[in-house]
Parts: sequence; structure tokens; C-alpha cells
Amino acid sequence: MTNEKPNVQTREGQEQMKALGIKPLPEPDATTQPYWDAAMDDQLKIQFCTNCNQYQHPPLPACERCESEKIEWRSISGKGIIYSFIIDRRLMTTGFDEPYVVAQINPIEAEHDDVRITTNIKGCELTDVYMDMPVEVFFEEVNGVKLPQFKPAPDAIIKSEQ
Amino acid sequence: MKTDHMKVAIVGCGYTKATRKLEKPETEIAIEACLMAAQDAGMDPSEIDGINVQVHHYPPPETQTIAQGIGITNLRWNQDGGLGILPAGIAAQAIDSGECNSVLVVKIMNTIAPISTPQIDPNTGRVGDWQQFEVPYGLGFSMQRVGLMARKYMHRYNIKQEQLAWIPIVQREHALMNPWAVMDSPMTLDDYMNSRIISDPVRLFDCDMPVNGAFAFLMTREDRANELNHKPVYLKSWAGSEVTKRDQLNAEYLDGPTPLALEIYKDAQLGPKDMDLWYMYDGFSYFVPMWMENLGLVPRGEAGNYVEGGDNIRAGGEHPINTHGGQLSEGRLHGHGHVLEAVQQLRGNAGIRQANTANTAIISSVFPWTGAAGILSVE
Repeated sequence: MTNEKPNVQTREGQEQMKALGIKPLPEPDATTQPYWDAAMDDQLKIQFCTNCNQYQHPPLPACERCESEKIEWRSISGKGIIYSFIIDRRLMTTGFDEPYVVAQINPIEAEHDDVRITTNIKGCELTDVYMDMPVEVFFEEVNGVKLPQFKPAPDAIIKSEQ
Repeated sequence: MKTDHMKVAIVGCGYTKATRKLEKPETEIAIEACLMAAQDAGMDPSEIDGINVQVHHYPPPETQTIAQGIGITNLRWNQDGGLGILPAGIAAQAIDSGECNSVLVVKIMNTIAPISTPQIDPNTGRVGDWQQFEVPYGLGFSMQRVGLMARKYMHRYNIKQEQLAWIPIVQREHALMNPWAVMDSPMTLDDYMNSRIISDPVRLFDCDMPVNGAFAFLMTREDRANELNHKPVYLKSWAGSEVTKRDQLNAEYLDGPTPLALEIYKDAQLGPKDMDLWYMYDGFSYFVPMWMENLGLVPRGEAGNYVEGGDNIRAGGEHPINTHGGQLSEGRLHGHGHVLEAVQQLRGNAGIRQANTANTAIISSVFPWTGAAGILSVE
């Protein structure tokens, strides 16, 4: 049993990975590589369809709305607001050993385009996070990979400091 | 969608005991449930010529073994998979088109595999595909994703947890009247609000109960149905959603019912007000109010007000919801339990759970945006 790799399809396998302290990281492919390359340069870039003039995320080989392949990658400011969030206290995911926030961010450039970037929220208490909170990107290095992360923007209201 | 040429009815129901651990092999419990459904209908198994088997794990079910074990001698139609009301619709189409005369639709539940897990390579710790944007941030499970949907929904319509709590509370009341349910202790509002936080706002009591067991219903043509043991319960209409985006939340901006809802009402020539009983999929409690609004059963944003206090949605109320306790309290049957309970209610066979008016039931299966829905009626 000790030489067998965990079966990720089972609860036991997920717990085995957790016990091994496996920290999950992205496995980029041809379509997604530009996102992660930009992050290595501390840049947040997402896809923009030049045919129907809309951003999309996650990246796809073609536009999910109009199916055009005239997609380009655009740098965005990293400013956005919180679309929704959870506070995870159950801690089922390997690599996460203390309660944490998962949020979905709407970048300000893509206000009408239904773009949601998944992230954690760092730099404040879990209970400081609120709906529509303004946030901004930073880049966190994990095992040689850079992950875009978000923290409260300077004008966000931090409850615990009041 | 409705059947074009004839009416198709659900005529038999079969259940094994729902257990916390799998006690017998899957094929054995599937056969047991199917034989019970056939016996309930009064149809000899050798007459049955179609079968649909569902499991949520790999490998696929041993359908041939199950069919033989039931005593099916001439299997003319077999299509496995689908959940809840959806395979009922697909089976009805097969009967209507003449591919077969009668179909057993059987669900086998096995708790070994969780429903969906992050696909992390255990050798490298890497995650590919769309999950690469989520799992590195600790988002990998349905109970987390539903929390994101639930918070947005409650925020948008200013609905409080204390209102929606009445859904699991009332469903637990129903389960206490259901001999097949696994949950057997009452739940108060305090119990709910004190229940363990999983992924805020999702609590333990917002999550369904994993169970093992097999559950089956038998469908056949109207003319045959009228010769059998029970009042036929007809599938009036059904539809699957055209929305496919994995975490679709766009439909929350609709003012009224979704296109799926409009289709099934049109095909059945009925409206939301005609739906006596509401069998809303409750893999998580938050799906229930979302489905209620998607199906136009209450106006957008009004589900919290409607369920608060529980009076409207109890078995004796205006529109009983999940009178069997649902997946929250009867057990996770991926929507099969909703169909079976609706049939018993429409037959008038639900005993102490029997609703006052039970001629028509609306059933929804799985996620509010990408799932299916259908209407059952005694007419």
C-alpha cells in the first residue's frame, strides 16, 4: 500500500494526498500557457476576442460566444471587485491546512463580460472580506511557479481595523 | 418535450434499504429493486424489454448481468446514465417510438467514490484542464462551488440564511415520516444555524446524505398501464437544459422562468400554478430556492419569503416540497427519490406524508442551470 499512489477519485486518496502535503499547481497546456507565462512576469493577462470585443476566462482555443479564433491576450490592471466568495473551514483540499477564502473576482476591464477569476484573498482577516469589495492583484511564488492572488485594494474597507 | 404518439406512465416503484455502508454487491441490489418495481406494477419481468441503469462511478454498471438477474429475456432497448427525471424522459421517448414497450429505470448508489474531486496528478501535484485555475486556490469540490453560487444568490435578492433554513428543517420533518429515510432526528432552526460550517455559507445541514442502495421505477405505455396494479402516473413533459457552461450563473439575471421551464409548461399545456407538489433537486439545500425561481413557481427573489416558517412547503401546506425528505434527509439518490415519491403521492399512496391535493408534480434534477425538469400527472 505504501508504494501505491493515491487514487484521486476516492475520498481516501484525497486524504492521502493531504497527508503527503501535496500543494496543487497548474499544469499549463498550449491554450493556457500565456496566462501562466504572464504571471511569471508579474502580469495579469486574459483573453480578448477581437471579433465580438469581449474578454473571456478561463482561456479557450476559440471565443466561447462567437467561436472566432481571433483571440488576443491583453494585460489587465489587476483591479477588480469580489463577485462572490466562500470561507472554507472544512479543509478537504490538499495543501490547505487552515481556513481560507476562495473568491471570484470581476476585473474592472471586463465589467460586462461575465469574467470571473478564482483566487484567494490575502492581506486581511477572513471575516474582513465582503461582497463587491475592491481588490487588486499581486503575484505569489509557490515552488517556482507564480500564482496571481488578490488582496484588498487601498480603498477597500477593512472591518477589523475600524 | 413530450411523447408524440402516446402517453407513457410510471407504473411500478422499487426500493432497497438505503444504508451507510454498501452491504451487498451492486448487481444484487439493482436486481432486488427492479424485481420489486415489477411486482409493484403487477408486470412479469419477462415482459420488460428495456432498461436504463445509472451509477456515478467508473466502471460502468453490469447491465447485462442485472437484466438477466431480473428475468428479462428480450432486451430491445438499453441506454445507461442520466439522473432523475431525465432518464425517465429518454425512456418515455424509446417507448413512444416503438423501440420497446416497458423500461426499468434503476439507480445504484455507492458511497465509495465522492461525487467530484480535484483531478490532481499524485505524482506531480499538477492540475490540468479548467481545474488548473481553481484547485491551486483550494477550490475543488461541489460543496465549495455551491457556496459561491449561494452567497451570490442571497446577496442579489437580500435573502437570509434564517429564511432558507426552513427548507432543510421541513424536509427533515418529512423524513421522520418516511421509513426509507436515513435521518431520524428532528431539526430546529437553532440546530441548523449551529450546524458545522463547511464552506461559508454552506453548512453541514445544507449537504445531502450519502447512502448506498438501489432504487427503480418501471415505465410503460398507457394502454398497458391501465391493466396494472396502480393508477398510472403520466410523464406529461420533460426537457433538458441547453445551458452547458460549467459554472453558469448567467441565468440568475433573468426576471422570470428559464427557457427550460417555459418549454415543459408549454408541452404539458399547464402553468406553474397547476403544480401541486414541488420535487426540487436538493443535492445542496440552496438548489431548492434556485430551482423554485427558475421554474417560475415563485417570482424571482421570493423563494426565501415563501419558505420562511415552513407553512407553505410542509406536506399539509399549499405546495409541499420534497415530501420524502429529499436528498438532504432521505438520502442522496441523485434525483431518483424525487421521482419515486412523486409517484407515490400522485397515486395517493404516501400514507402519513400524503398531501391534500396531489394531481400534478413538477420534478427537477441536478443543477439549477444545467439540469432537467419534468411534469408528472394523473391525467
